[in-house]
Amino acid sequence: MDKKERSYSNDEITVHWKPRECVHAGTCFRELRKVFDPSRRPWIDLSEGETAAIIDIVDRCPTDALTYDRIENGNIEASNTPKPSVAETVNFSIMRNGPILAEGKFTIIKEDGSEQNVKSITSFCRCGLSKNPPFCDGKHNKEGFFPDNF
Amino acid sequence: MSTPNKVTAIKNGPLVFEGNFRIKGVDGNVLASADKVYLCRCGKSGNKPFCDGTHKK
Repeated sequence: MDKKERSYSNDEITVHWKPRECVHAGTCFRELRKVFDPSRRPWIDLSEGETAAIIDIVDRCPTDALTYDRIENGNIEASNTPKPSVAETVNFSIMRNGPILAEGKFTIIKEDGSEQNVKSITSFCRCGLSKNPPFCDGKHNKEGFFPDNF
Repeated sequence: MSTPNKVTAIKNGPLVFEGNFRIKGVDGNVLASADKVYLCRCGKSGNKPFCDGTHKK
């Protein structure tokens, strides 16, 4: 297990956080900031939200960065909520004040001409601040990138 | 014949999307599903999410 992975529990569920899987789509903190607040440590606080609302957000995380297990009678049961499969068309979503989320199969040709195949999901920097271009590394959150607040 | 889906990062320039794709805006509305689109990746375009060449200035 990655040392940076964390798990957080309330009485009903355990939410698992895998930072390496995160593509910075931002759905979690944009829609349920009280629970998912990147400026707080620890950044996830399950006591700040209803379990159903937390599950809804975790299910809408586009990767396995956020997953959850239900705690029933003290036992943990896997949630069995596979993330949606990927269609032939590549879907690009502009995330509000965030990156371009890309879902599908395609080839990336980087600035140096090298190629990389993407099989399911990645995210592209849209603010020009990423240290790992053309991919998003979450830097826009720290520097402030608010082009879509209109 | 379908072309392979391709994203090219132009050095000091935009992202070029080519192939079978759909772009959704921040409100979930479909902005484009053309064969080729240039998207801003410098944060300075006046026509986001598309590139308008402002990065050169």
